[in-house]
Parts: sequence; C-alpha cells; structure tokens
Amino acid sequence: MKHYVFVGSAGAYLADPVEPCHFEGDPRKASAGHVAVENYLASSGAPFTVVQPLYIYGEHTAKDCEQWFLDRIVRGRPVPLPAPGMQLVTLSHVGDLANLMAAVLGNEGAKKQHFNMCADKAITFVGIVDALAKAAGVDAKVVLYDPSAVGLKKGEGFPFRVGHFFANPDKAKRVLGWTCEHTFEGDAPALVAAYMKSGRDKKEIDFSLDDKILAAVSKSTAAVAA
Amino acid sequence: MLGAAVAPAAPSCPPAPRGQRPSNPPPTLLPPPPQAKLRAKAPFSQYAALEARGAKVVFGNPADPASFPSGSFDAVYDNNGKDLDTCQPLIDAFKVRKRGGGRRGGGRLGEGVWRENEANNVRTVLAPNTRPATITKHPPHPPPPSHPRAR
Repeated sequence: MKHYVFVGSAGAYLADPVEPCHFEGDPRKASAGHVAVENYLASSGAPFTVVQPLYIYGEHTAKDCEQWFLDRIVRGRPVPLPAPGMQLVTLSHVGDLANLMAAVLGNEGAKKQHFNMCADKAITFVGIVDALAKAAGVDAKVVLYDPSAVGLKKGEGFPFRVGHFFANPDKAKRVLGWTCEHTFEGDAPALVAAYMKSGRDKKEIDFSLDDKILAAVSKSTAAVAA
Repeated sequence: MLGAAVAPAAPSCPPAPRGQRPSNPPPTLLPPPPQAKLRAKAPFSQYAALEARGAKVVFGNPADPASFPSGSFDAVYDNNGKDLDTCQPLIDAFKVRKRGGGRRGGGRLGEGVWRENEANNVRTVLAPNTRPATITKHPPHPPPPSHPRAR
C-alpha cells in the first residue's frame, strides 16, 4: 500500500474570530476525532495525506446544502438566517473535490501533507439565497435572527455553522496542480433544476423550527416597536 | 459509518498512449450493511452505475478487518471515518507487515510497519463513503514549486 488518504474535515480547525480564513497548519481542535486520526497517521510513519473539505454540494452528495435554502425559496417562505447574514462560507462542488482527491494519487509531494478542499470563492449566507432565488426566478425574503436569543440548540435551525467558515485552497493548487472549476453562483441554475427534477419541491417539509424562529423575531420586533 | 470502496489492483499498468491519461484499475468500495437498504437510498443507489463501469462493491464493517476485501491495494481512501476507533482498523490492516514488527523500512506502530514503494502499479482502496465522489484519474504531477506562503 503506497498511500493512505484520509478525508478529515476543515471543521477540525479551531475557529479564529480575528482571522477566520483557515490555512493548512492552523491550530486544530485537540478534542476532535479527526485530529486523533491525523496524529495517529503522523506517528505511524504512514505515507498519508489528509484532505479537509468544507460544505459540499452537487450531484450525489449525501447531505443537504443548497436544498435547505431551496426548500424555503421555492415555497415562498422566509429564509431565516443567523444575523448578520454576511458570514462567509466556502461551498465546494463535489466534482472539484473529486478532482482534488484524485490528484493526490501518484504525487509524492502530497504525502504527509494536509490540503483544504474547498472553492476558490467564499460566499455569504445572503449571497447563497440571492444566487438561488435569481436562478429560480423568484424573490426571496430573508429574516435575520440572533440564534442565542431564539433558544435553539447547537446545530438547530440552520445547516451551517452560524459564524464564518471558510478556507484557502491555494496549497492544493501549488502542490497538486488542482484547479477549481466551479462557482456556486455559476452552478445555481443547475442546482435549482436538479432540485425541481428530484420532486423535492412537492415533498412535505418540517418548518416547525423556522416558525419558532420567525415567532421569536416577530415578538422581538413588536417589543422594540412598543 | 456508511460504506467504503476498494479497487482491485491490476498486475500492471501499461503506459497510456500519448495524449491520454493512464488507465488505473477500477476502485473497490467498502460500504457497511444493510446492503439492500443502502442501495435503495440516494446517493448509494448509484452503486449499480459504478459497478457497470468496473467498480467492485464489498459490503463490510470498516472497523472489522475480517470483513475487508482481500487482495493488496496501493492506495486507501477513508472518506467517512470520524474518529480513531473507526479509522485505526483500516489504517492498520493495510500496513505492510513484517515478521516480529521490525523497525526497518519505515515508522513502527504496533505490529505493522509502513513501507513505501513496494508496488509498481496503482491500486485504489476507497474507504467508507458518506460523501460519494467521482474519482477521476490524472497523470503523475511534477514536483511542487516552492512558495513563500507554503505551510
């Protein structure tokens, strides 16, 4: 066996509120399970490579990404976003990520290295809504809320982290010769088409958490107005 | 944990014609059971399409080496493991083992010793895969240029 490639996670980086963009080599969460694997590989002398994806979208992915937004946009429902909505994320097309993973094979320079796996361009939460709404040919209404004031548990009500979560993929370009061929805005029309083709626009979706958020925002707004 | 993939290794890989990417053996996937339930669910319902293109799907438990596909592999991708308990069995299983766990040839860990360059052809093992990805083949890459921001 010549190469062991571990798909870890950029989520194992320690969040940095001062300089939030993650580069390879930035501090990792010692408590993260992925980091224990990385440390084991490093101490083993294994010819390993660690790749660190962020949020993945595109065909045949297993987790919701753009679908969460489209569930609301195509039904004319408000899209509740953690304030201020300008948080940056790097959404990564599965094809770009597959190319990066394949580029590791046969590349001696990739061994004992970590690589961020993400898009060139970061996008804001509001930008995701705007891009998808434009592609769907509808207007979308965004409602901003304070997650701590609504009483949601961690991970509830929104598919991403509520703060910035983005990384720089330049190391993969330098070392692997990888290039990013997709942008979320450019892919938005195809994503909307795939969503509609899947029939999900007609499925029943549980919006109870949205309703809880919207009620809390409405109550807060009324209190301020009074 | 949801599935893995492994590609059988070809005895040799002839050089690709000029202008074409080299042909690598197809991968083997190692997803966990239950097979019928998983195959019925997207995106794993795409396994049949992968098998039609030569990929092999072996259902097994990534934490149980007895369920791993037999044969040797030049590369292993673990695309699902999230902690050492679930990843270590796969890592250890594909080490090059030497009698007595000697220190020659690479770093030592437990009974296994990692040794590089023991194979000439590229074989691919794709491990647990909750984030299915299309693996495309690329020719070997040149050494990386130095860069002042390299970390």
